[in-house]
Amino acid sequence: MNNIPSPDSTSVRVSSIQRFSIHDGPGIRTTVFLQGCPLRCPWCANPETQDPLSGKMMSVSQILSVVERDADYYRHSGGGVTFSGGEPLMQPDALEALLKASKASGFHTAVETSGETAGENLLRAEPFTDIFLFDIKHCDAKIFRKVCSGSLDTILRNLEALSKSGKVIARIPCIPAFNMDADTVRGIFALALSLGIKEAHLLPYHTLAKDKYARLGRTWGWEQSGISKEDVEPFACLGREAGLRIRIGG
Amino acid sequence: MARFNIETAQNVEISKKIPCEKSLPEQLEIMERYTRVHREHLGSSKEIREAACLEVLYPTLLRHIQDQDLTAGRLDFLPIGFGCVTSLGGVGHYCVFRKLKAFRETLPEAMRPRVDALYDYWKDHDLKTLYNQETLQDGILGMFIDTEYPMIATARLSGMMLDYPTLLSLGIGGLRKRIGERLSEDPENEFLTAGLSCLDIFVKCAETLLQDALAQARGASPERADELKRMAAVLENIKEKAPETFPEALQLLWLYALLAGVINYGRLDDFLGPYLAADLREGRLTEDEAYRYIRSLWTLIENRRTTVNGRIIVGGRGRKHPEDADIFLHLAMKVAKDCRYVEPQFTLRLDKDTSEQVWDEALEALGAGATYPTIYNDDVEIPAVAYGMRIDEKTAEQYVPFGCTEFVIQGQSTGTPNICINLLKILTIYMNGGIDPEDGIRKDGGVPIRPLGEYRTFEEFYDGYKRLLDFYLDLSAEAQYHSYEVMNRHVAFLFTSLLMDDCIARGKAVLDGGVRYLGGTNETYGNINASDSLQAIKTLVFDQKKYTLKQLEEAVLANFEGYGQVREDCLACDKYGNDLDTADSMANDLYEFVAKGVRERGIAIGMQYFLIVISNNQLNTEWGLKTAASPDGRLRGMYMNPANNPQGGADKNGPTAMLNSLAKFDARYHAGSVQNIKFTPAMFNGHRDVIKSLFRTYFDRGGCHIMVTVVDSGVLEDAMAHPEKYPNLIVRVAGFSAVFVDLSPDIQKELLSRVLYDEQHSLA
Repeated sequence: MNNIPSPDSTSVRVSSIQRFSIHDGPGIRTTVFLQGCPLRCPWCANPETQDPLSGKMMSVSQILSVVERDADYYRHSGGGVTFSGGEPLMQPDALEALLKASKASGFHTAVETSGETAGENLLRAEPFTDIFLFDIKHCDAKIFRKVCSGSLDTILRNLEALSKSGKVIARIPCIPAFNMDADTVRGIFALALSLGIKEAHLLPYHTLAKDKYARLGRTWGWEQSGISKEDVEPFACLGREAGLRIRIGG
Repeated sequence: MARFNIETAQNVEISKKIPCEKSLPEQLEIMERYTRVHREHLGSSKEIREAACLEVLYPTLLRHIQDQDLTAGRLDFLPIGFGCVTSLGGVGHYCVFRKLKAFRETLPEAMRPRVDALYDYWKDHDLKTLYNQETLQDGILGMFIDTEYPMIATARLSGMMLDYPTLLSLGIGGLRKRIGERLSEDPENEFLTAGLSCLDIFVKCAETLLQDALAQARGASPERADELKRMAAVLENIKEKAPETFPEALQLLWLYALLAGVINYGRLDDFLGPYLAADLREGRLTEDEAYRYIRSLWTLIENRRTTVNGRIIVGGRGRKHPEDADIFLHLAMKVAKDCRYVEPQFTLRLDKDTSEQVWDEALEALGAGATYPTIYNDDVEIPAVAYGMRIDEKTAEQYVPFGCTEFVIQGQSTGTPNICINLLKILTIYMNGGIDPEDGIRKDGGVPIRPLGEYRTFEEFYDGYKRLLDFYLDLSAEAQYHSYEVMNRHVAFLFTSLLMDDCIARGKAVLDGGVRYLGGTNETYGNINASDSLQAIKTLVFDQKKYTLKQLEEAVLANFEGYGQVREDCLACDKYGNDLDTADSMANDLYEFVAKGVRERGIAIGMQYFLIVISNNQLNTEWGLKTAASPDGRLRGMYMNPANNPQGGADKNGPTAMLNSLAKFDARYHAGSVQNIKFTPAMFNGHRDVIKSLFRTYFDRGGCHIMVTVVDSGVLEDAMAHPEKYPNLIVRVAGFSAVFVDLSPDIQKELLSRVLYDEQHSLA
């Protein structure tokens, strides 16, 4: 045993738990949004999850007791539990405990990550995770740092280490005026392919979270109109041509 | 005797009736003739009187065959006549005074006194009025639909589903022979004698329609003339002989149902499937022709406009001819999807073995916005019905939902809901010391109620509420049973009785000891508002001790005006529909108390079963308008929760949580429970596999039933503002579908309040 505390004593900062998630992995899922994110993407749909010190404290077993309520639905639909955020790997101990407990209950597990974390955190999570929904937002480190305040080098190093597991699905948020040009998208696909990734999900940018910003007393940071599935279809074609399995939407 | 207004609307009528074909003077003459015959037969037995009166109505009230009809038979109804149900004409020998008065206004002045004479006669003879005079109690038990009362009662024989397999296998001639044989053993039996008269009426009606078909054929296009001649030949064949083809079987069943005044049809796939299969196999019909026959049936049923009835059931266990039945089922699915009518209420029974194809067809029709089929889960319902109705599982396999969802056993039981009870109104009366806060009238029926300050525990408080409920539940069983006694005193429901086990064998009419299983149902309303209110009281008063009962009651009586914080606290308490053990257990506890209480009382009074139905037409909204504010945070006059669903908007945990809450009630104690859910097309059609898993899991977990509306977000709002743009927008109200823009704004608002599940839900 390593130093992971028992499920009951592990406190988790949770932003929210959403049942009947159908965009965060296969089937019907429950998504647990963990609190805290190192990035500051201006289009972030979950701004309330960014602050690592807010959210509510829950124990692992409290969280699992919610997740278990829909166990029958997971079984019928090939679904399970997804840990998202924020960046779930900002709470690596909690995440590992949650994943272990989920696996002990027989659930399919997914982790949605930006990859912006210490490499060992991802490797600790890996044995208990069935799929990683791994964001690749851009292929240019400078632009990425400027817009999202993150390190693409770290992310790609982590992705490379993790992709050997064969569990990684790339998630590409399609953001107008950020990455929605053919060269950038091709660059992202090339990165994914070079790391042995076979599947990518293209997520059309939306502005549904604008109200949340207003409630948080913040302003929406990306002045673009939302786009449709059709708008990302040309990029889906590029991906398929490059040899990736592509899905639009999660 | 209780005071009541005999002109009160007696039922929910959303769909507009088709105007009568007869001229006004003709209508008046028919009603006068009917009244005269009724008067002349006051000294006769009820059976002979009924047969004589039916001879006045039929074939006279048959309408002409219309151009699109492939099966013959349409009927008019007048404000005076004979019937079984309130949605077509009225009950027994009836006079619908409100409609008679309106009819009077359309007549020239000189003719009006003739109507007045009829009005005066029927004041003393309208069956429902007679029932009301004997049964209603001021403040306590009102008439349908007087929402100022906590409980309402009526006399009617809703939901009869006849033994069509016997009719089809014997034909009219065979039925005549069977009655004749029984009559030879019991020659004085007037029920059987009158039964034979009914068969004569049937033959006369078939002949009348036959002549109409031939007459219309003379001026018709060659194709239509062909159809009409076929129709005439079909009518000729079914006058005596048992049907041999699908059109004959359909015609026989349809015309009989029409004359019986029954408006629910039952397991047509199983009854008609073998005729259809044989016709297709032997080349008498093409698939396209069969489709057109079924589509024509859909139109005939739609045109009867009964608002909440017209049940056709397909699929499920206990079918005698499952393979042939499935041929009908698949065609009917297509028709339901293409027609998108509010009636028939097309119903699919399924179980674990139901094929993917049937599932896919059902979801396809729902996804197209048809609101049909409504889906029942045999794996849960059959054992539940067996227990609830005290019958074996083999018999329970023949359960069929009618109306908004109530079950009967086809051809074997009655199940008419002649009582409705508002559990929430009773709670508001209880909390206010026995006086309805709405109108200041005492409605405690003499049950002692302690002052609120005296309750030391939640259990004591809840127990007091249960004592008041006991009073009402006692009364409900008595009033239901009495409705049968009063109806039986006056009428035999002859056509119905002839096709119900065991009326012919016993030589008795359905309510005279003829029916095998005398059952009934009691519609409960405000269930969830009541349980959520109890949950709020438990939490705020007894667990958290944040308020006293008196303080809470003060806030409620003030409709929360000046008590905004109290209302916020009430709303913040756990609510049913979120898969929370707290609120769901409370809902289940109240459910079991009421449902078991009703069932036990029904058995004690001598019924085979008397079960609650958590059915729902639009009464949840209408009764809500006359129900005081409640501790669940609901404001005065606001709609109450629909059927077994949460109060609109109270469920915030998504569809799996809502369905988990719905599935918690033990189906053994009810005879039908409406469960509604609403999706956007993007969700329902864009994620079909997810939807299928969602429903299957729900059924696996004990879910008994689901009714689905698929509508885009914003559409209902837009339709309220611009009704002219949405003449064909169909929604599921609760146990029935309606054209949205035909509903009143209050009901539209209630529908809007319900959560609409969209794929965006999970795009946080």
